[in-house]
Amino acid sequence: MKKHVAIILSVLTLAGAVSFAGCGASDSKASDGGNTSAVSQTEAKKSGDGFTEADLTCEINGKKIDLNEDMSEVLSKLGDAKNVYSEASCHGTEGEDKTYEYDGFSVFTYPDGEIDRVIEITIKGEGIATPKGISVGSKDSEIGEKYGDDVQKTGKYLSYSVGDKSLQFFVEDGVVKEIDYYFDGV
Amino acid sequence: MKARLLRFSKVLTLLLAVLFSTLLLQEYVLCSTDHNRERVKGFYLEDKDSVDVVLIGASEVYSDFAPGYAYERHGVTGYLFATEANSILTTKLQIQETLKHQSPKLILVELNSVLYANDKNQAKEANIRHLVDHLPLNANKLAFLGELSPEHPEEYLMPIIKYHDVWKNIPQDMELAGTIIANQSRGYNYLKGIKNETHVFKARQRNMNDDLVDRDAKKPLNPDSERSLRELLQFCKDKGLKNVVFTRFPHIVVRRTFDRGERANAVGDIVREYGFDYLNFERDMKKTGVDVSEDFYNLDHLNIYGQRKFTDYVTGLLMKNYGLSPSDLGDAEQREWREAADHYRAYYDYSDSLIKKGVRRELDEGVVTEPDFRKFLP
Repeated sequence: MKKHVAIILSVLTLAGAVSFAGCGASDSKASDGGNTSAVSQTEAKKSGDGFTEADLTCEINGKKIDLNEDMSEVLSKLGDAKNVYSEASCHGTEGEDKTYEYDGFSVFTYPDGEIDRVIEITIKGEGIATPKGISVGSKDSEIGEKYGDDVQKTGKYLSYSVGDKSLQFFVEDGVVKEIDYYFDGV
Repeated sequence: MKARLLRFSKVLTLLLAVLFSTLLLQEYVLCSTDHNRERVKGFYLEDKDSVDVVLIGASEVYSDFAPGYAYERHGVTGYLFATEANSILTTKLQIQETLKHQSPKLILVELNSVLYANDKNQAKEANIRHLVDHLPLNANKLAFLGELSPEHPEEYLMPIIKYHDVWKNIPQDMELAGTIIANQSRGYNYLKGIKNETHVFKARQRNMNDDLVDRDAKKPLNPDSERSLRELLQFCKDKGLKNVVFTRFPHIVVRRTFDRGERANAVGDIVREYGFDYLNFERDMKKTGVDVSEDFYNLDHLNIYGQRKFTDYVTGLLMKNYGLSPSDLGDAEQREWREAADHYRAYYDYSDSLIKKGVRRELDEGVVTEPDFRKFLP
């Protein structure tokens, strides 16, 4: 009897999860006022995997960087930046927003008390790929294959989000020109 | 009997002395004596019914608009009744206080406060205190505290309770205490609340202002923000206010801040639903003459070059479309506003000289006593 109940519960849970995932996808499109363009569903199905929180970890030279991570930890992994710029913070907090410029990419921070935290990572140079293999110079068709169809199009940006964190690709003439990770929770 | 009366009067004198000292300490020493206090206190120094346009909002307001320049160019008097990271929760209180002390031709409310990515900024204690700590204790403030129901209302009523340990950092933390006293003895401040930074910002992210121009897509506001906005608009409607205009000041838009642009579209719809106008200068930034590459000191704030262009544009527009007209001032008030215009010109020239030398500084009313600044006065 217990076994039957367990099977029924599993089936119901699975059905609930599937329908819940469906709701999420359609909601995210509706919120864009109908301007969302989705990458072909066929391509997404082909890939068999979508966008998950794990895709929001940026990997550069084998070092993992997370959004909202303490910049001092990032510096210990990446070493000193080529240039550092700072401006009075735009985030309603005391302190400075900073830009750490490296070869091919930049890390942006916001002040959280005494700590500078990563708010954005922008990759403009070739040779730095996302964990799923998209880099500057990749074709836009590869994006859907790797990340699925739950995408939002804003101008020339294709964005994938989980909560207040996003990964986005700036695409021009069918080619990725820039990759951007950002945190919108400040 | 005489001895008892004498003892009573001695005790009373002692108590009054303690009370007076406490209030004095609370007013000038054991308090937050920053630019917010200087600006808010300055608002109450303005002569009654002498201000044509009161601007309410957050840092965009005190960096982007220059009342001294608006007076010089258009003869219009204005005041920046704005505080750092201003919360939508205090906007009604600011309007109430404005109406109590002034009869402005126009109240311009910048609504950055409802566009944050989440609702936590709205209820952040510091953001509320930037304003409320510096307001006089009156019925409006008490009613606001009644609605807010803070955990420690006594700290709002007697801020010395909150700031009693500031003495540990005296004199460093006294910041603008001297400036505030100087303003009070003069009867007005010169810069009417301006705070800006001597810097020309070069954005390192891709600019998306042009993508916003024709974009009508909307993103929903956060639930608390929308509720607070609707309450504010209902208050203005119930009061029958015809002289309130809502606005979005210019910002550099990048992908990370693009959603705010779409939320601003939603704000426009909500504002119009209640019968008010919404002027979105971020979307129409080109018309203002503001240049993304030269006129900002960071993503969200105009530098003095942008400030001057924007002040000129927006004042002209308000005069053309919203009945703003040159002030009819008495001799003393005219003298005060000529001084304000002179000080703004000096502020602009001094800031310009620092930018050209590559010196970055935040400049507020505190600068007006500095010898290097005074060289630029006529």
